[in-house]
Amino acid sequence: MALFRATTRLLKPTLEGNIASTVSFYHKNVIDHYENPRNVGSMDKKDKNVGTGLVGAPACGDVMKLQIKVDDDGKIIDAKFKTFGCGSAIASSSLATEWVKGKKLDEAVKIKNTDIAKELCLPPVKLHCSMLAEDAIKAALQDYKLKNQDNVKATA
Amino acid sequence: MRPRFMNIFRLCSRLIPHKQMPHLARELPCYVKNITFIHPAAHFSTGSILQNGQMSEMDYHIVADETMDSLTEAFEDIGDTLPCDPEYDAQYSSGVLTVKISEKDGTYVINKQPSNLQIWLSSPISGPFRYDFEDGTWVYKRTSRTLHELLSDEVSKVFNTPIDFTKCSYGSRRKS
Repeated sequence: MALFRATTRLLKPTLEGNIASTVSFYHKNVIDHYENPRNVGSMDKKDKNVGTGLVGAPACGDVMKLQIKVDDDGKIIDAKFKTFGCGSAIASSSLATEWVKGKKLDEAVKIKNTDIAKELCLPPVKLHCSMLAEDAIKAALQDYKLKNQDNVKATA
Repeated sequence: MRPRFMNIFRLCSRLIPHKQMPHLARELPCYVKNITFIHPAAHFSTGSILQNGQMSEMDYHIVADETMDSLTEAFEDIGDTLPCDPEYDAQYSSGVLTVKISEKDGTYVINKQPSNLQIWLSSPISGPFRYDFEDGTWVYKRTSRTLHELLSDEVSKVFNTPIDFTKCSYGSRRKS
């Protein structure tokens, strides 16, 4: 047993050295969102002014819930998110809530996954997280539109 | 008949850690059915929805494995036959194919996503895509473009020479 522990201790530096050369580290922007997440929380999804986007599947490893609160002028005044997933997924959805705040509905729909990925310097394998964040924004906007279809028809 | 049986046998050993293979082979249909019910959240996934009429998980692995092996071979052939950057590298392991073209041109990551019965692509040129198996090939439902068409277009541009990935296994639509 002692011999086993001694060998693992001897191998540890080599293993760590090898691992360090093959594994990419999280970018500092991603770590920032992970350690200081903005806008975590929930809103009342029954509220007419709230649009809820729920995307992903636990089996895939990522689930994102993004909610937006829209005022009467069609401007997003608040956004909240809850994400189950990797650091990149959390950072992508956190950034998404930061970006939608203060935007009008038709401006928010223009947020693209490429912008999110560029801001967070996501590696190739994590680009899917940024796509999911874009889908979450679109789903939230769609949900709000559906809820307020009657209002839109009335004003038209 | 035999090769298919061998594939199923290989899959059995992956799905069931038990050593009593022949005994459980009888119960396999039940077990496979149960696997499809492990994804209750799949109905709000952005990927494909598990429904009756979709391929079984067993078939998915058979098709996806062959697709991935064929793509790996194609990318390795490029490395052997075309003038590549010294950094060019194609590695396939645990269902993930990573192809580094160069520092400048970026890296393609193609991986199996068994929980969605999909293949996912991350392209340094056009970003992330999720492909479903449809019509004998892998299709991105939002644009109806196939995985192999995208790779053919993009990789041909990178190397400035026509490269045809549609010749790979499951690379083109089934001719009806």
